[in-house]
Amino acid sequence: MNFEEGKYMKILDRILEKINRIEKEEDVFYKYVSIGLVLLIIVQYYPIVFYFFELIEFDSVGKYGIVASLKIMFLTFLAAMPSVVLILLGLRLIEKTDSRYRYGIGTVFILSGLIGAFFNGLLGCLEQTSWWDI
Amino acid sequence: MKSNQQGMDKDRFDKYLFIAVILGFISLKVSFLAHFFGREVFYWYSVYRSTFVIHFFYIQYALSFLLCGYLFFLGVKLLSNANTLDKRRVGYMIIIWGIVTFVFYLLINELERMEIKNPEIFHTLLSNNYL
Repeated sequence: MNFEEGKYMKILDRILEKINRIEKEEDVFYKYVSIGLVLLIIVQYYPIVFYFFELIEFDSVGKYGIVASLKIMFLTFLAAMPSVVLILLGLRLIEKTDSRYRYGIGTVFILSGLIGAFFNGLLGCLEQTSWWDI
Repeated sequence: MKSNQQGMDKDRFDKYLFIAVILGFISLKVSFLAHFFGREVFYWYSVYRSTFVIHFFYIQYALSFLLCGYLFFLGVKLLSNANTLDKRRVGYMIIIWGIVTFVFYLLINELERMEIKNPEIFHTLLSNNYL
């Protein structure tokens, strides 16, 4: 039994050691930052999706179409995804990496995620309202 | 300057990266603020089509050129000093960010300017889905 426990502990230790080594590697910071930058660009320019949607759907479906309305709801929901991932990535960047500027860059990611989620959500809701009411 | 293989030290690289991220973060906000001032504030004060407003767009062009140009420059600087694949990726992303933001700036400015200078033509285009 002791032998078994020792064996498992050794395997667990090795796994934990590997995880810690990966997390503390210098390049993980840059990997997180590069993923965060991609998400940041998506979050910042997401309103273009609404604009193109309006151009494409305006004539074909009609202003009060339920299908168009549902599509806008889906697009609004989709807008939240990169924002949430960006917030989580910012938190992970602060927690797991060891760069001096991790707090600054992590805070920018979290703020961008929050602002993006709010404004893209607001824009989606306004689009939805305008399609129903005007 | 150190060679490309060696790259700059981690602290300096991270500092430039931090400046680039902050710059990219504020650049689009500045654009939207300018858009807001151009459209709303000037309209409220009934100077919507004055010469000053038209000149305001030239100030915006200059501002966008400076902000995005510096962002692009920082991207190139990071890229030229990157010694790993992940660092290079970060450099490329900053360069792309600079270009995309500049194009977006120009687009917003040009649409605003077009609407102010020729509102009739602009709205005809808009209603026919050409824009």
